[in-house]
Amino acid sequence: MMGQSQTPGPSGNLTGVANEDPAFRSEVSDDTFQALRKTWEPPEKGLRRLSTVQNGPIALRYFVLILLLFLAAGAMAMLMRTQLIVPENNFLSPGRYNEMFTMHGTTMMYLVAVPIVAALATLILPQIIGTRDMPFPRMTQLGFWAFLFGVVFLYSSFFFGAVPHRGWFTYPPLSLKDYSPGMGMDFWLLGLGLIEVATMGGAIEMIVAILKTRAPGMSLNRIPVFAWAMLTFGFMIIFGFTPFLVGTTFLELDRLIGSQFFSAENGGNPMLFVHLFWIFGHPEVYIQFLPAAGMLSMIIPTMAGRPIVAYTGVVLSIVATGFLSFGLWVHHMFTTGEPALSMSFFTASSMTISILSGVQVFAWIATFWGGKPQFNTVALWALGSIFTFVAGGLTGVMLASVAFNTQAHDSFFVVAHFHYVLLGGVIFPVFAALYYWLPKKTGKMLSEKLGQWNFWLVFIGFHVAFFPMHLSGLRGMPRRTYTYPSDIGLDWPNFISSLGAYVIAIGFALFLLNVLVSQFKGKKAEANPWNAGTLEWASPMPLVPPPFITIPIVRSRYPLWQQESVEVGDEPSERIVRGLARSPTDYRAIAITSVADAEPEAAVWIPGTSYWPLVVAVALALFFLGVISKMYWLAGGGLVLTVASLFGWFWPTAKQRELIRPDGPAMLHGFPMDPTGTRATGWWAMALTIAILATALATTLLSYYYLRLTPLAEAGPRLPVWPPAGIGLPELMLPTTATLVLLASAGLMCWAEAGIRQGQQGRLRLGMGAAWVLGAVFVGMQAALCLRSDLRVQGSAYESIFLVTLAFHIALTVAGLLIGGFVQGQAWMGLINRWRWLPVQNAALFWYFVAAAWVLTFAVLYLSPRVI
Amino acid sequence: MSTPATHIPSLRRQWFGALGAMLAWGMDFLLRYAISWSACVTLWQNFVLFEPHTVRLLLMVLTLVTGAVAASAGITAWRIGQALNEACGRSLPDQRSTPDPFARTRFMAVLGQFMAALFMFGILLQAVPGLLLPVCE
Repeated sequence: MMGQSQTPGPSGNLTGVANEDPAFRSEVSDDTFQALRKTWEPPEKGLRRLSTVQNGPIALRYFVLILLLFLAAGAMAMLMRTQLIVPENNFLSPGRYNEMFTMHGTTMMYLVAVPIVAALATLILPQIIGTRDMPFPRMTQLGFWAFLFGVVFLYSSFFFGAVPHRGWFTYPPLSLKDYSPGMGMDFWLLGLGLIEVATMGGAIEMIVAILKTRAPGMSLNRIPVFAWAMLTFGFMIIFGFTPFLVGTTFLELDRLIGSQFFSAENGGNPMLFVHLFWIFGHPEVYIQFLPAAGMLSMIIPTMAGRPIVAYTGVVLSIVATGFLSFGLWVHHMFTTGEPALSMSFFTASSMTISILSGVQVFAWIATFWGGKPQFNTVALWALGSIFTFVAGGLTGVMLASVAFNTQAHDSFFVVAHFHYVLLGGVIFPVFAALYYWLPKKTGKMLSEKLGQWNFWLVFIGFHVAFFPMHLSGLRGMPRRTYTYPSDIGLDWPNFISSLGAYVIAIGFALFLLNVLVSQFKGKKAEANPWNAGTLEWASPMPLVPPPFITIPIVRSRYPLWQQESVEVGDEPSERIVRGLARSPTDYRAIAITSVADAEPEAAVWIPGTSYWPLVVAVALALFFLGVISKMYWLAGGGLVLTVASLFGWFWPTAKQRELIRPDGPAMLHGFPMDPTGTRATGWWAMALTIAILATALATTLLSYYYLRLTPLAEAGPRLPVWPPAGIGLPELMLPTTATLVLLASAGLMCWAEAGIRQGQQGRLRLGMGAAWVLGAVFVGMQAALCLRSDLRVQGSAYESIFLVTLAFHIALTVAGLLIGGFVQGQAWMGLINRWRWLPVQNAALFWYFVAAAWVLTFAVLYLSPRVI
Repeated sequence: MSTPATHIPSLRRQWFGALGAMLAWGMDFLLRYAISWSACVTLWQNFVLFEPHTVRLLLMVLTLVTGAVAASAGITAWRIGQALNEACGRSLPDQRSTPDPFARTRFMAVLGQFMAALFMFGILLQAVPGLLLPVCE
């Protein structure tokens, strides 16, 4: 393990030199070098740019879009503060004020804070972990397009006069059709739906990248802290965003087709949405904070010129915070009638999580304290972040107390608290990171002078704006209220807050000015301008793909400080990195390493430029547009186009087909090119996709029990009748038969999978074909179950949850059949053999999940009403 | 003296040592909330299983079980660390000359011990209100 005594390398300079240095590619000829560059570089002309999959250009697009959104959210904040600058002001109408705080919160929480850390990760993560690109580059492109279309959806509401106005949380019943009849809420729900899908895809990609594509030798104890943070971020998105997606789907169904999930008079319960929202909402805060904290843990050691203090403690803090954050959601619901005992559990976990934030803060302070810090703009943002975040954390501990929370709930005190936490804990570190890493993309340093003005104006403006909000909150000023009466002690705090807000705006404008000026007059950035110790600074400056001609070999936590060379390692590591530096030059390949020890396991092809992600994003946008405008033909067309374009996306390319060998495994430099199981990135992607779907199913089934056990309209000493009066128990015979059919189908799939492992093509085709036919019969039975029942989705909450759960499982089954059919197509084309059968393994994995999901669904929907 | 390699437990045990306590806390938290919620908010509240004294008993048993799992994860991690110390000595070799081949195992062992301490504290903290507060109020 790294000792604290270890300090920057011999001269404090980088020892693993940049790729441009001929020494680093000593064994790579100029021809090879140029050929590799040509294969990896993005298209630079005209519309072909739309097909780029390289992380650098896509990250730049993200930055530009997010910056525009940040400006929009800031402008809305200015409008709100102008409204509140004096009492009883009429600058904004109450309705307009509602729209402003809704769109400001929505933009900052969903469209700025999470995407900006994802964009920074897109730019820098591959270099930090020492790989050439993300493992699924097309997913990177899809993420951007889906995000862009989601943003267009959300903001087009301004042009239709249907701006969402129910807050960033959209609680029912206010967000139901009765109280929000326009299309504003639909724009909100569907726009965010598209963005959530993109975010979850990105999360899968990041997890797989960090687990499977790290540089050889980068074992768990050597992973840079930012990568640990992004790994945690990825898992949190998978398990946090999914309940929210389920909740917003229920809400949109209530609005669109009249289901009854949240209608109290028909057995629904709006509190279900509040739970689903905050199961996502509280982790969301840490989804934003942890990557930002990871950035600080990269930046502060560089600024201090020494390794981070207590690396293990910091990693523990990040991982445990991510986990604990799922145990805090009810502390947003202390005034909703939860029993005191239940609330005390959430107080306990809220207190526990503050210990973990404390560990990180002390580690940062100790790192600064024990080093020789340079106090430049980057360091100022980092220090400002620590100061502000600690202040926000302290009020967080106050709010974790039920007694205090009950008094301060829904007041400006809470507004002050979360702005201290989110600006201090997220936006300040992001600005530190932009000053630190942006030169990597642009090749130009940002101005120090403008940077310091930028920092001090924002820092001072921030505290002037938000500190008085604690006072106005404690004096009783409620949130989300467009005005206040004079002479009740709120005039001066609000006046000062508004002045502070204007100062912040000037400060952020200076950042824009700095970026623009630096492009023309900025100092050219050196290869490692901050004298940092991590791998991203061993890639070319400015960044050009691939970041590493020779993939580095890692033997320490700070390779550029603590290693004489990043080319030396054990035999397999040297073989794969030197091999990939020479060939292939006509397609892209990356190294795959093991999860725990980062030992080389495989060398795999990754896709190049492609239009398929754009087509998928357009198809998804058409689907959502069709839903929002109730043009169901358009929605159906969008769905069909989505499936068709996914087929095009995943069908093996000409190069992939060329690499398949009928007589043995395809090998590259002695490593397999078609790994299976936990060695394959594709297997991990499928496993994580299943984790998302399993979370969605679990959320749906738990919602069933929530509605069953807490009907608002029917309180009494006994369990209510379930199903409700007038609805019989669901039939058993057909679903039992269907269960047997599906299990038989899963058994056949298992038989087929075992067959191809032994190279038996006939058994694969027969087994998968029979499994597919039985699967189709099963879908027919499910359809019959829906048609034969007298249930109406609009009838009651029971009918809504029953039919939607069934529909969800039908969708899963159809997806399984499509995947199965797709893989069978490959089998018939001779693209599957005993050395290349990952598609079969993934199809089988999905099919087993479909079967397990049905057994659970059957038990809940059909058996449980007879038992409890 | 046996070689260090013979002292290295399986990767599965290492993962249990590192993350077991965290998962135990997660289980404790979910079940604790589910029990109190079922007893106080849902229409199950009049069932024998959810009477106040049985709820207290259930919560206590839950604390013991999850606490034991968390403790065993911590002990596993501690024993892995001890085994490595016995085999390789306590001092950490300078990575620049001879990298410690068990650095990753050691890291997971230390992580697991801290995790166990933290999450056992968390489990204990969640158990206290069950002893002091009325079950449904």
